Amino acid sequence: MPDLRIIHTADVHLGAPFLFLGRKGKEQREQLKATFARVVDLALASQADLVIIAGDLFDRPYPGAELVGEAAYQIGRLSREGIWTVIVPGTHDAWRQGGAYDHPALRSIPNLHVFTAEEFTPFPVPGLDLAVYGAAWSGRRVNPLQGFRPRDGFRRRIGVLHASLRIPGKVEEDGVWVDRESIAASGLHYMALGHWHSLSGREEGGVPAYYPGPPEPLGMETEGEGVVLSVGLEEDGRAEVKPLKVGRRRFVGLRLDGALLGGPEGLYGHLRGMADPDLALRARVVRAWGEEWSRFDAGKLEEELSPLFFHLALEVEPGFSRSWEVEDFPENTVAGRFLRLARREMAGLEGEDLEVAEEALRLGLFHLAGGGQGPC
Amino acid sequence: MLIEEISLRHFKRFREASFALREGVNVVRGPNESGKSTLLQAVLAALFWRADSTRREVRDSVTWGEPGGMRVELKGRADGISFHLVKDFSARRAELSWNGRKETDPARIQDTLREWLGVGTEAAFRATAGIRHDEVDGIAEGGKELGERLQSALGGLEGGPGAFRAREAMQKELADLLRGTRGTARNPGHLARTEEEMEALARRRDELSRAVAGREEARRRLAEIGEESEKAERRLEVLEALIRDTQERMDIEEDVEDLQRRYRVMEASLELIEEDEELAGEEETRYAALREVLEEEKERLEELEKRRSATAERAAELSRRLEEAAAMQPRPWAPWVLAAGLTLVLAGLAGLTLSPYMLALCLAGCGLTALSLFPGGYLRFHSGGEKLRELRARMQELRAEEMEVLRCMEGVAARGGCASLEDFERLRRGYLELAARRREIAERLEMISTWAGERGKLEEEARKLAADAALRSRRWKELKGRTLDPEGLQRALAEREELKRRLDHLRAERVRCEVVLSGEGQEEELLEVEEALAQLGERRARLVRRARALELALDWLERASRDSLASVISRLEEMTGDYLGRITGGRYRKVTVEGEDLSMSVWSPEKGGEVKVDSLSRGTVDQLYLAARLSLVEIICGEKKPPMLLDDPFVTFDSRRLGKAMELIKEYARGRQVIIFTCGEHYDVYADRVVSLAPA
Ligand SMILES: [Mn+2]
Repeated sequence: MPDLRIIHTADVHLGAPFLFLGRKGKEQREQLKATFARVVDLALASQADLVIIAGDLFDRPYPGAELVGEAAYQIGRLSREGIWTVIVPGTHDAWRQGGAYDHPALRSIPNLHVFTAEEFTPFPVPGLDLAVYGAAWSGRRVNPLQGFRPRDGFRRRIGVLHASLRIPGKVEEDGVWVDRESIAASGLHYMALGHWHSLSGREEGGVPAYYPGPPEPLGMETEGEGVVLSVGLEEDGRAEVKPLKVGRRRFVGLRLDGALLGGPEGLYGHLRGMADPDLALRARVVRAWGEEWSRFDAGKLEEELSPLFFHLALEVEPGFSRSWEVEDFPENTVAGRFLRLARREMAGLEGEDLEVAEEALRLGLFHLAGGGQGPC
Repeated sequence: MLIEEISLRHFKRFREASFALREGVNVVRGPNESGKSTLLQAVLAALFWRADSTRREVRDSVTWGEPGGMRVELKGRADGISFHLVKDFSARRAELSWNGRKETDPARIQDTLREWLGVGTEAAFRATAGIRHDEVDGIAEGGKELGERLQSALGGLEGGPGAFRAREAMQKELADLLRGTRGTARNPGHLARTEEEMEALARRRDELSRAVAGREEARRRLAEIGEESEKAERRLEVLEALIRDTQERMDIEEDVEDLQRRYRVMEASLELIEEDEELAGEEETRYAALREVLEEEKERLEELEKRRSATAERAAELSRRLEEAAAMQPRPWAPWVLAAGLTLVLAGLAGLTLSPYMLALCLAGCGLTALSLFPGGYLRFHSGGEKLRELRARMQELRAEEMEVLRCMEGVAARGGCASLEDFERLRRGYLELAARRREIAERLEMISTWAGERGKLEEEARKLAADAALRSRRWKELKGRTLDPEGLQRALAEREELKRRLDHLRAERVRCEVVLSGEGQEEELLEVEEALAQLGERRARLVRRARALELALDWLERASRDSLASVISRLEEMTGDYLGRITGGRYRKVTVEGEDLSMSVWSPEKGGEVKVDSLSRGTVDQLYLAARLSLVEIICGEKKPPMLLDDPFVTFDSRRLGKAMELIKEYARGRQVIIFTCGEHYDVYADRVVSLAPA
């Protein structure tokens, strides 16, 4: 039985835009709220003592009042049950006068503490014999843990920061940062981090330091598992960190090999097999070469299968010209000449121009083969 | 290339089959569903399918119910050399052996076959060396079809419409796509519609961005206003208290002044009252007798006074007249001048004895004498003395009367206890002065005090005033530390006005901010618009790319088709003319092919001119087309001579047309291989070999 139970989340990004989702963006924005509500449900159900939000609860410093109201309602639910919430403002929702954290709806919540100072300051959580140290995000490149030695009479200490974890030569900071050495030397019992959009972390010299990633995935590039961290602090000061799934949607980017799929039918079958109304899938078909792909229309297939997914984006990597050997078409035929001419012209191209040329080649051969009346 | 034997295993309906073929015309005959098209496909598979292909078509060709084992085997000759080809599609293995060589790499096997055939893909092969069952059908209707079908063959892709039609289709697609992007169109194309939609959304986005920015500003401003208002209100409270205290102090100062004035008045009243009391005492002690006499003898005294003053008046009158009379008396210079004149005369007369000039002196004396006598001044001086005497007498009478009056008055004075009239007058004056003073005091008291004469009340009032003043001055001292000097007060008042104005302004601004913030959902709408815009942007990019690709493809296709026509036309004319000459016994030998559309005409020596296709007999048109079509195969494939595959092309022909067509085919098949797939027996007579397939 842990002595102290903490739910640690970050990077919720309420009110974030989802440009790649188009008209589905609104739905995912609603899901962000629903998932945040689930985080609160979880904290209530697990009888947590403390909820930590390590930055970027909102996607912008001045979110709409409705959004602040929703967040305030959820945090208010915790507050009413006597559960404390501590927040550090992050990159996206930095403290601003009249901003989200200055809003009366949040300011009036009793059991909520927002760290507004840029210095690493302690907040003694009433009734928990616990000091939470936190600092608001600032554009300044500082390490709040530098030279930090806690001087307080509390039995347990936790740090909360929206910061990058500097790994020399690999990851450089873009503002507030920490590094492994300073975490290890901090004397904290747990370091709650936010800013990186993936579940990551480990113990640094006896100090567990974790990024939970967004509770609800935000995009393909955020390999979001959609979890929050449940942190149990034992009597002896050890921390047990467990990820708990709360996110609903999955964002998956996929490369499919056209040669292995054996043609558009194979691709269709494969995608159908993946169908999931909570899956946003971006599939890129590579090596879609050969005659069987010459009449393939990715747009049409995307349209046909989209209803089976939360979102589906399908594209074919250009490379059609590799479908044939030039010699397959006798030189005296128009197709033969066309192919040879296209090959010559494409030799010096790259990037977008090459992609256009690949498409031109495909279209030319398609039409020469009597491709049909409308656009393919 | 010549196929001498084709063996199939587990290929569609053929579990195990082998067919022998030869040079010349081969007829594969069988009813529907007997496997003609399967055999045709098997030939194509042997020649073009890669043994390691994963294509569905390949997988689907395995005999139904068999797990695999699909195999096609080909024996034949190429460039005069025997070869043996085995393709095991299930095992994905192939083997080609010829001339003591062996190749097992599927790709390299295809390369070799391509070299032997002159064609590398099934599509290209079917387009050139295959004649579909409907290709020749209807060819005799007109020259247009003939040209088009040749174009299709020249296109190089099976079933394709040829370069001309392909370009038309692409041009149409491009035009549809771009419609409305340059200028306006009634029915704008996909791209123009997308751009239009994007423009509208971008406008909406800008509008919303401004609104959202305005809301952020309003929210920030609202917080500032709250802070500033609070500060201003606190300051206002301080100022109000300061001003209130200062004004109270000033009021007290004013009140104290008033109190002091009133106190002074009371003091003065008390003094007057005291004086009056003293005067009253004096009146009783000194003037009691006088007051009695004055009251009793009032009338007599008045009368006496009247008489006295009348006497005095008349005396004054008389003395005035006396003075006048004295003034009327001539001045006493005349007698003196007379005496001087007479003296001078006498002196002159005396002097005449001495000098005659003394006569002048005598004359001057005469002058002076005359002057003194003129105008009778001396006489008048004499008569004035009479009047004076009379006046003086009347004066003496008056004096007597005066004496009497005085005596009477002295009697009155004696009664008043005065020894003399002067004493009486003095006493009376003193009394009158006292009375006047007392009257004055009474008047003043009446004027300045309500309680004139009520000394007790006045004293009490004064005590009260003093107490009040003391109270106020205590309060005044209390206030003194936290009040302002007049200048400070002015400043405070000005500051208070300024603060009130500022607060009014802030209130108005707060209302404005609240109005800006009252509309909900603009943030969400902005995000939705941005998302929609992103999606449209992607769509637009795709369309633009497609348009660019179409433009590029059109350009390439035009160049390719031009080059290909340029290299084909003269040889096509020559070879077609040669075939035609051979089967018509020289009747038609010269053929002309038009540029782009490949339409044809023939030279008729009988008519001595060009003959359009339309005016030729159906049989001849068929021959013309077949000659051109087969020539094209040779031109395209070079000297490779691939087997020609004819899929029942003359099925609708009557025997005359069939005969004509087959004449040409027979001619063409010399030294080559032609395989005709059919369900009828009408080709049998032309066949060098007949393969008969049994019904399923
Ligand atoms: Mn973030």
